[in-house]
Amino acid sequence: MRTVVTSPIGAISGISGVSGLNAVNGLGGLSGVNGLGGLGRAAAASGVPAVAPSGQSFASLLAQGLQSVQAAQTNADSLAIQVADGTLSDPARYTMAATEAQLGLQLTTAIRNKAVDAFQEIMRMQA
Amino acid sequence: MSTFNVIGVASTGVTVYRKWLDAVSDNIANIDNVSRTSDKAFQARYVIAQEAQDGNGAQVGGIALGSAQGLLSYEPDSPLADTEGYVRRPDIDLGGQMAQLIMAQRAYQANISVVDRARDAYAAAIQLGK
Repeated sequence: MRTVVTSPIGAISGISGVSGLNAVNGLGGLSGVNGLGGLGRAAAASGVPAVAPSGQSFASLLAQGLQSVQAAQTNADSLAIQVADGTLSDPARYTMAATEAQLGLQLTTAIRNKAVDAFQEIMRMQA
Repeated sequence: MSTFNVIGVASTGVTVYRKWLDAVSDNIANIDNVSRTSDKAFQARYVIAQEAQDGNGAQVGGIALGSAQGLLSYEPDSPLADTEGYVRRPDIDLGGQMAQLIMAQRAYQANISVVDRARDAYAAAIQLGK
């Protein structure tokens, strides 16, 4: 899977020839970050070369994804307040917003765990 | 478009059918209203459902109102009756409203089911990445 998101690996340019790095499937999972912000989906699909700088670093993509998750959480929180003060027009609105926020958080933690796994995998190569 | 788009689309459907339920309950609540012949009868509310403008889901385009004439009813004992003994009642059929109630309720539940299945599917996808 060759996406721009693999650039943290690409930064280790000395070993970029090691094709085994592509086998670190965990990095493929990182491409989910594109979807988080609803952005860059086209860029990921159009097969951007792995090391090509596209102006979107992994960190900024992750930050945008986190903002999107945060927005979902805030939305669910405000609806929870509406439940409490009795102004909510439809209970399903809250439950659906809460579901969306929960899924977003789960996706975020899954990506975070994958990123940490990838980092540890690389650090283990020194041993 | 967002990551969990199905939930957003289904929620627009839920909103439409909730408004339909609101309209039906309004109609049933007012079904026995009586008004003077010089006034309007209660006008039944009909939800106009249509495709959402951004192409994701459905939306309520507006509320159509039923007949303001209503039905003339001969009730000379009513304090609202005119000199000939007539009053206006809304032109709403309770049987039709009950049928609409069932349709709206089932469609609401169907959209909730979509959310339920979508959540399970997304959760399975996230589980795959763990």
